[in-house]
Amino acid sequence: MLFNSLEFFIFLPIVFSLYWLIGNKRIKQQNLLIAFSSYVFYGWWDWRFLFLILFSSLVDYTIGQKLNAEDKPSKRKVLLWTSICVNLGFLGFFKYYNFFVDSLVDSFTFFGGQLSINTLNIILPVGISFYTFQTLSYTIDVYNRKLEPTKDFLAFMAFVSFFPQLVAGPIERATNLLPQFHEKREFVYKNAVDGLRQALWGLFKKVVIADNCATYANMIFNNQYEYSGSTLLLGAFFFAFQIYGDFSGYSDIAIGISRLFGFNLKRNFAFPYFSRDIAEFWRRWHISLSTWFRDYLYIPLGGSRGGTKMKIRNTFIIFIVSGFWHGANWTFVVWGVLNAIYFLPLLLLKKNRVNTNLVAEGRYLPTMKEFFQMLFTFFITLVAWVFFRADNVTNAFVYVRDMLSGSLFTKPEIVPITVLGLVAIFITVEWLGRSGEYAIQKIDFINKPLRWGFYMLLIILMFVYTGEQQEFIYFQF
Amino acid sequence: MKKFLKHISYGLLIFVIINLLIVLKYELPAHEAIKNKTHKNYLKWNSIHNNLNTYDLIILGSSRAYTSLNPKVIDSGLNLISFNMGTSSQDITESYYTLKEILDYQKPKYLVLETYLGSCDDFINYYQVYSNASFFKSSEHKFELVVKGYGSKGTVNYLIPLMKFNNYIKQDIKSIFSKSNSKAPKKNWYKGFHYDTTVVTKNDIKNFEPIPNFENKNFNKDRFKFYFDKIHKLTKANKIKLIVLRTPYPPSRLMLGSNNDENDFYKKYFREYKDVGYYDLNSYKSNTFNFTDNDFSDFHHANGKGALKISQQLVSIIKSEQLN
Repeated sequence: MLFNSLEFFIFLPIVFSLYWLIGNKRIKQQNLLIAFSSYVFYGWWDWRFLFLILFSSLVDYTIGQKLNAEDKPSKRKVLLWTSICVNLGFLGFFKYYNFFVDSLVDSFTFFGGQLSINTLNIILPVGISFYTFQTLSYTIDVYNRKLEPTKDFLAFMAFVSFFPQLVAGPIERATNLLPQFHEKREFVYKNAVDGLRQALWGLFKKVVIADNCATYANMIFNNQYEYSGSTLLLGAFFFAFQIYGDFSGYSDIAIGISRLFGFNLKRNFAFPYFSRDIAEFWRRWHISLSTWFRDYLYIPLGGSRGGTKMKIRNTFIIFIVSGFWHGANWTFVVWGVLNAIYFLPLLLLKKNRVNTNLVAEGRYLPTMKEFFQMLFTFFITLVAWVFFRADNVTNAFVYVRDMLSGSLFTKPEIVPITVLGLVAIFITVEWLGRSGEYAIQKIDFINKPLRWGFYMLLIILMFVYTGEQQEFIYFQF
Repeated sequence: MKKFLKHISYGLLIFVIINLLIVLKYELPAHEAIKNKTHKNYLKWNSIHNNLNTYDLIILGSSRAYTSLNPKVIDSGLNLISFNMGTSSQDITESYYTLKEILDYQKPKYLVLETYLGSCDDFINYYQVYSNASFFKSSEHKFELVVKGYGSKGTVNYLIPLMKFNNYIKQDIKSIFSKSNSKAPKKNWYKGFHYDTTVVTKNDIKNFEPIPNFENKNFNKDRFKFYFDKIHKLTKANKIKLIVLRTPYPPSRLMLGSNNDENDFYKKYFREYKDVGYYDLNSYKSNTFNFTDNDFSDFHHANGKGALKISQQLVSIIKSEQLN
């Protein structure tokens, strides 16, 4: 079920009404409703994958219990690795099996050999990378004794399958979300309004910004050989806003809807395109994944505590794994490597934590220095997005080469004024609201009629400028 | 909670009021046009409903069909009576239900179906679709078109005017920011054909974009096949000869891109149907029917001059089909 579909607009009010009708004194029934509706939500795509999520929940719940009862380090380690193997095994099979087979066959062919292994006709379960990481965080935290395992399987099921964030995050930590399933949830008017507002903004980002940008990004990327450098730059620009609008839009909807149910999810995006360097960008982009890798991979590997070699190794590992997490394609690996290359100089020169504050705090406009820093960071991110979007690595290199050719300074063949106008308005609103958790969070300072007028304008724009409906990009990850 | 629900209700109420205003703005002119008997779809359907079993040849398709195929030329060339039932943004699904409705009133010998990428892409102009369907006499056809034809998205568009008219709202917003001083061209309607004397400007030609292809447009092949098959079955059951046409594009536009996968798809696909003739009019007898940009009124619609050539192409096709 898509957030931007008729089915969801019927589903949400029903679940919302039932949930608060049950009342906050009956937590178990509320959790049951959440688990049930989440399974309906997920099963809407393909009911067969419900068994997968159920199995994953059962395994991690049981292992969590056993980890708590077990004191022997060796046995605890075995339990932890069982969970890791089961979860990553599913992920590996569904997401990476064909990729590894293809790559192996290609390598043999390259060296003159022949290998015959058939790929399988596997359908990738929607959001598998997200809920796998979420359940893994539970087991690892229980193993590290940071979290008491839950004894309530229903609460655990609801935690794993919580429908607002099930298919595209934010990847929640068990330490943050799971305890909320054990607590009484209150309906707080202010929170509900805030949640609805955030969901509305997220929907606007998805339907108006991402889907309209997608039309032109697809057109240009799919016919890259026919366009000039300036058009290719525009294509990368549109993709940058497609992916941002799409993914951060999804996160905003997820966080907003969760608030309607009395849950608080972690922030996933913090205006990444206003970053002044790439380190800041990575602190602001897909925060739940970056911090997951930081806590469960980078730090266990030694982080940046060791010598230069270790820092370089760990940086490359984390970025490559992060790239690979996105999909079974070499383009994502190159995207990861490129980001590691961008990031390393800052880390080695110890300048990776220079820009930790809000850009142009308390001012309407940035300084010239800040402006050019943001522009440069955005540009190198744009180049990296080309690898993320391209069908294969060769096409990506050709795209970048052609984009940076002499024709970069010619008039683009395609200039969609309306979409560019919408993006310009979007950037302005995001800039003005950058001190909030999301762009329009602090809109309360405007008087009520204007505020309502603004909400209505967003809704009208969503209906009028709805793009050709696209699935959320991150569903495929 | 009460306060929250109260505010949600207010929001919904405002939303309903906005939609009512949209209906007033956009449906009222159509209503007036029907009252004054100037509404093009109303007139088209009147001809179909009131002239029982009159037409030998029916043309279906989008605006590319009703600007390209002139019944006057076809009738005199083939000595039969034709009617152009092409309607704006008509897609394959709509063509099928339109045909169903037509066959309740007509017994044509030929059906000419115009097709192009827009006939089955993701963009559906629901206002045009439903405007056409609103003149169906059969409620069953109407219901099937909305619910079966376009599913939940179709239903939402049917119910929410903001969505149904979004194309027109967009155009109106655009017109606020752009000046249009062009002289009104001569436009006439004849048996469903739109005769237009406009000639595409040099500036427009300069801004032409390549013809869309399957790489940059989502052509829903499954939907196309599903509905084409239904159209085929219907024509077969009614002993109607089915001819499929891809009408021409301005040559300057054709030259912008080399990707011709759309035409390749049609060629391959229609080959499976032995009794269906498919013709790409961009290349059909190109020595005789040599198109220039001046045969078009914009980036993909033929003007009166172009329509003469295209209609003659159809006459030539049917004559050669008859010989076969």
